[in-house]
Amino acid sequence: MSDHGHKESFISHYIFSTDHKMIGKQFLLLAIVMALFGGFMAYLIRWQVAFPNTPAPFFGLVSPDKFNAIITMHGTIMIFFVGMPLLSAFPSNFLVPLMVGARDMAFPKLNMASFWINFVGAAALIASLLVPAGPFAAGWTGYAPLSASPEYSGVKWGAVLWVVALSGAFISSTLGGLNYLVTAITMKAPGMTYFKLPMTAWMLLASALTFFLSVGPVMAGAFMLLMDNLFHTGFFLPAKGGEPLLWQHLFWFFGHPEVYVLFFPALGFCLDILATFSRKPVFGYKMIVASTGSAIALSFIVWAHHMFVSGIDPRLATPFSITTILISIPFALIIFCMYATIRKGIVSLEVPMLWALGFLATFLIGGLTGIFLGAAAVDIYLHGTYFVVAHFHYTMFPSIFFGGFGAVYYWFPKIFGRMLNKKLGILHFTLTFIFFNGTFWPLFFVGIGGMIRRIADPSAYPQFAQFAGTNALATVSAVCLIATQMIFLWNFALSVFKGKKAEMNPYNACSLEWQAPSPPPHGNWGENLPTVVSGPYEFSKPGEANDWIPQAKKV
Amino acid sequence: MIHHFPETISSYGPGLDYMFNLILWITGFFFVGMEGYLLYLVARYAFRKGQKAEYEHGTKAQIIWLLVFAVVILVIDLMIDIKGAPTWHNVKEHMPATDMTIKVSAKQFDWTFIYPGKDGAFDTADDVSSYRELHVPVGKKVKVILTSKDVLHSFFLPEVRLKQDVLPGREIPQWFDTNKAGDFHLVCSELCGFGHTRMMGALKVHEEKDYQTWLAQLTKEQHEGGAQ
Repeated sequence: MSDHGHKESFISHYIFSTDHKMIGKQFLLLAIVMALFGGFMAYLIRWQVAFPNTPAPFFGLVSPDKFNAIITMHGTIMIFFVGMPLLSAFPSNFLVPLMVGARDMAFPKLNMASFWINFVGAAALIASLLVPAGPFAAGWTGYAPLSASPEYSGVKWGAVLWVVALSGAFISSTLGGLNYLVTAITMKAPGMTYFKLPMTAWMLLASALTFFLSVGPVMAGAFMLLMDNLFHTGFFLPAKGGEPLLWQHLFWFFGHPEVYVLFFPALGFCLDILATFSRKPVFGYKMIVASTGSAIALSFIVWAHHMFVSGIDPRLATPFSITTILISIPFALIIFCMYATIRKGIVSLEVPMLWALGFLATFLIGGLTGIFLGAAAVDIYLHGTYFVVAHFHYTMFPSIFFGGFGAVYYWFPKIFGRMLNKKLGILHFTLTFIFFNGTFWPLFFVGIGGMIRRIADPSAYPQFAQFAGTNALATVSAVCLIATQMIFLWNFALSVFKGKKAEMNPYNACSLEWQAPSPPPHGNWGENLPTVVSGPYEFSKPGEANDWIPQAKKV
Repeated sequence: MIHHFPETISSYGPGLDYMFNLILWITGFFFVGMEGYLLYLVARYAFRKGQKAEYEHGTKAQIIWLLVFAVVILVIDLMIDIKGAPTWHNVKEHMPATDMTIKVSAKQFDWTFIYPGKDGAFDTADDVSSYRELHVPVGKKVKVILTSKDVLHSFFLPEVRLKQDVLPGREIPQWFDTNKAGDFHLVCSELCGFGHTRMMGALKVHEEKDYQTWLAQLTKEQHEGGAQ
């Protein structure tokens, strides 16, 4: 099985690769490219909100038609083609085999298919920018009947391509998730057990499992949406016996767990990073695993909190309020364990550690503001306002970007065999932290003031004129936030080719992936698989010469 | 943060605002406490060169302490639920005896309001309608029956603190009252298509006498003025 030293053509090595590490890098690259599209759209949205009806530099006038399309594309891209590849596919591909001590994924060809199906989905979404009548414009949540009928939406091929793109993402993540789970279940190295896996592996598997269990209904819904758009089947049209709320149920039954599909991996990365840079074992390992399990279970009975004012039976609101607010308990326990991991440690503020701490500081705000929206009575007023926008950006941005950058900075030496520039990393983190808060903190106030989201021309609403200054502040911050990411791209490009050569284990971390060469060769482990003898976080054990014990004994 | 709210003009508005404030105090406490503790941890345990970190995975006693914290959070959670449920119930689950009924019909991208006229019944000859402007008399409990002719819309009266999505094929009853005459806002808060941004309206709250005058004027225009 270990066929290191084998010859490959350029195409089989870089393009149609079956090596889990190359596929991981492909997903990383896809996420970065798509983030550029998503980020540019964020800029156009913010420009139009703060400076309505003035041409946006590098684009032009953001008309209402374009505005609706752009908000839809921004959400779809950021969730499905940045968040999913960056937080799930990229790290799962690269890290799961290394962390369990396997030579590759269980199904390498399926793995390759997973990337290319995702690529087709992304390409369909980008192609939809060019079709007549433009891309899908019914919001990333695609509420029917607007989304189900070209007569109402004014968009036909855009809607079809949107469904194609989502299907690509769904199928890709399903194939990928199957692979990660089977690999972790069946291909652990000698001595490796579930409770010797690092939190990152646990959380990536939790994420894959959650995705699996939730994606079925929304796939069915997407198919019905496709049929409605192409053949007027009327699954969601009341005039034809359909039900608009059916779509919302199917979408949010998936949509709420999906938030955790993105949140779990970020938690995993941060736990690993906190342990390594505090030189301490992760606190409460088994309780974190148990909390994650109960969070997964709860995530399937909270979806109607997105639908309090949608027209569902109002008696459902209070039960769903209770389950929603209950979910704060497992997450509070995990966050407490993260704090306790730092406590009494030797904290070094390396760049990955900054991202992990930044994640904790910002995600907390997302979690706490969720309680306002989870309380059905308060949601009557706040639903659909910028308060919601601020809230979910305080959950998604920390997960996708603070968590995602944490992972990229932390494992970069393992992935590319070189070190990222530390000074640029600190600058990147600091500016991102400032401008992220500068963008979204003001929006809480705008939302509390009653300004609704998804309106293309706020200048038509005299009551929103009072928010012009606040909105301008958010927009200027957003532009700076996007510009700041160029520091990362520069650092990334420079370091991939010219960075300082990385050692095998630059941070003296314990978990197994750090005992493979940097970068790991094809087959990962040389002649013999490693034999795992200790846990993933044996930092600062009394009586040991070093403050870390590698998971595997030397072979 | 409460002063950022628009003024409230309904009887249930203060209840919603109270819930917001209650949650603000609770989350505000956790926000300050947890951000502060995080900063303290970093400041306290950073840069301790030459020392050794504690080797701890969490003893039973420590884990029990965390579970005690969790129970505290559970109690606070349930308190929020218990406090909020009656407010929700009052706005959404029960329909009080109302003084009048108005039908609200939404379509891409405007609002039409139908008043029953003198006989108090709909679908009769004396029905009158207003376009984009909802007129109500101050102090009266108003029942609105919401329906849509095409896609989803959302009926949002910020000053009343009422929001309800409007669905095609359904008639959704809601109620509200007002305690102040004046001009207030109505917006569509559900993305409903390319013209969504134009779908605003107004809530005009009149003194009872002015309302009757307005209604009589409208009836005259729509029935005696020859426009059917």
